[in-house]
Amino acid sequence: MAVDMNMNVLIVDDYKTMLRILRNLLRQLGFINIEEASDGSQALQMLRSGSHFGLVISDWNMEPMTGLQLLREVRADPKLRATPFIMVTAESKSENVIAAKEAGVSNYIVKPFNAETLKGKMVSVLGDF
Amino acid sequence: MARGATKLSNLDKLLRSLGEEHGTAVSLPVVGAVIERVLRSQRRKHVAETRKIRQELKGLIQIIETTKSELAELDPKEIKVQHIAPAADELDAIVKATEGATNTILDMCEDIERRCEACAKDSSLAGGGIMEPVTAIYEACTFQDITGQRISKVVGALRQIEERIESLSVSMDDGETPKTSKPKAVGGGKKTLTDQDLLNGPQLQAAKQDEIDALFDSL
Repeated sequence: MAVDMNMNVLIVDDYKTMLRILRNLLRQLGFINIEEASDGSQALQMLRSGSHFGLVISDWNMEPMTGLQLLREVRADPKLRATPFIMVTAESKSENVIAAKEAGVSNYIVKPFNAETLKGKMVSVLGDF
Repeated sequence: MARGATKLSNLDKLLRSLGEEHGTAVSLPVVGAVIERVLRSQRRKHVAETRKIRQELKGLIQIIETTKSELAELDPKEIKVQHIAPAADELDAIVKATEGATNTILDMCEDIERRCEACAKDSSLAGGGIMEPVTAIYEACTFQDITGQRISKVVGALRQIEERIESLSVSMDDGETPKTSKPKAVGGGKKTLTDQDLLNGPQLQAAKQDEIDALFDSL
């Protein structure tokens, strides 16, 4: 099934610059409906607000709610649990990857990353576009 | 001086009372008894003084021991190893990351300029290939996130050092016990990782994406 390029993508990061970079890279890839949140709790509120998001791309290290906590909340919510979730983080220790995988992350990108890696992981999660 | 005068006066009184009792001819046993009395009094005084000095010495030893353990708790070596050295490494990494990002951005700007000049000469090239260097600039800008996290680590280390110095200064000023945080135990078997343990920020020897992919796929 082809990826719906009109789907809502939620990007979550406490660094405004990173949100801007992600937004621009996603736009280059052809995605136009991109929403932003500055931490896990804001993202969760947006996810539960009723709008459907086809993908969440989230940082890990944020306050008050981290990306890992957001992921656990998403996976525990029957309405949200199927949402593809990519972690984009500077946390590169193996225990982090293991914890994220155990929590149900769809894929894991380590910062700094390039556009090719982002696209590759999105394709692996959503399918070709 | 006054104490010496009192002593002489007591001895004087004793000699006077002996004179009154025995006249000028005092027998040897009486002299011996007097000497023994004087010596006993002196011994009692010495024992009391020695006990006092011993107590004062014990107090001093206690203060020295407490100060030693307070200084050991502050542990300047631990400050150096756990805070200053990693902070210096983080700053080095920041310098390298900003240098790398700046060079990439400048290279891409020069590339865009070249492409624009080519477009000006040949209008059929208009807009051609601009996207590639623009993407590279976006990618290079990710340094801000990483360096931001590294700077936060350095700030954290400086705060720790500040706390230690402050508690040392309090300790030296008024003898209060410094409120230092104990150094984290190193090793000591497996422990369950908390979410907090997983927040380490960028690593100096960070794993590459393909290493992360290999681990991710193996799980």
